[in-house]
Amino acid sequence: MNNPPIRGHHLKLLSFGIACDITSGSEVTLTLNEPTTTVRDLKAHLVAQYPRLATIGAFRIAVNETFAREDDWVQTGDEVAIIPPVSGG
Amino acid sequence: MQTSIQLVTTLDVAAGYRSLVCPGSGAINVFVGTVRDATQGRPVVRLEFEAYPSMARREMQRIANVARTEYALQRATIWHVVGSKGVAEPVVFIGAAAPHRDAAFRACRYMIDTLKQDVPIWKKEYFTDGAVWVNAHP
Repeated sequence: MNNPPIRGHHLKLLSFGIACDITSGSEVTLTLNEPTTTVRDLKAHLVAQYPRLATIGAFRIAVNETFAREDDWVQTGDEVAIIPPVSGG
Repeated sequence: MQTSIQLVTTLDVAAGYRSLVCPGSGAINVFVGTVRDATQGRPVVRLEFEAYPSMARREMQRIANVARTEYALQRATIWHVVGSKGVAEPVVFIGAAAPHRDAAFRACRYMIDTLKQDVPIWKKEYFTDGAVWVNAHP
């Protein structure tokens, strides 16, 4: 008998700086209902899961090492990262 | 046109200058960012830099490429540290080499200003009584 399919789609997220403190780890696994999502929906999902993300300066999402726009799509397998306000230099 | 992009644990300013030297350039402009000993009157003990390394290098390369095109540079160098740095230590090196000084000055300004907006590197300021991620809160 086959195992039942795993429910939900898992997305690995990298997390840095203050976002890493908020998510309690530099690598977070998110469970999505669909295999793809927009960056806008992903951000809403993240804020719902980690309410403190709403208290920091606006964070950006990078997909495959590039800043993503709100309408861009994210799918399982992409390298996705939470980018809180940067402060290099 | 050559660019040099690096994340390093120790920044060698003299080596940064050498990366810019070329016969056609009559102007080499360098900006070095260092650890300041206080923020708004509060003594700073050290800074700690964290990066998203692969994306940071990619963004630094993109900035150097734009600077090359916009300012017709012959060389561009962007180096940044990761890890812990004490007061007065160098943490970022930006350099531009061009035939004349105006382009070299302007390119440096463009590269450091854009790095501060877009390169995924974060610094934590350590005070005697605590630490904060810089720019984290609005």
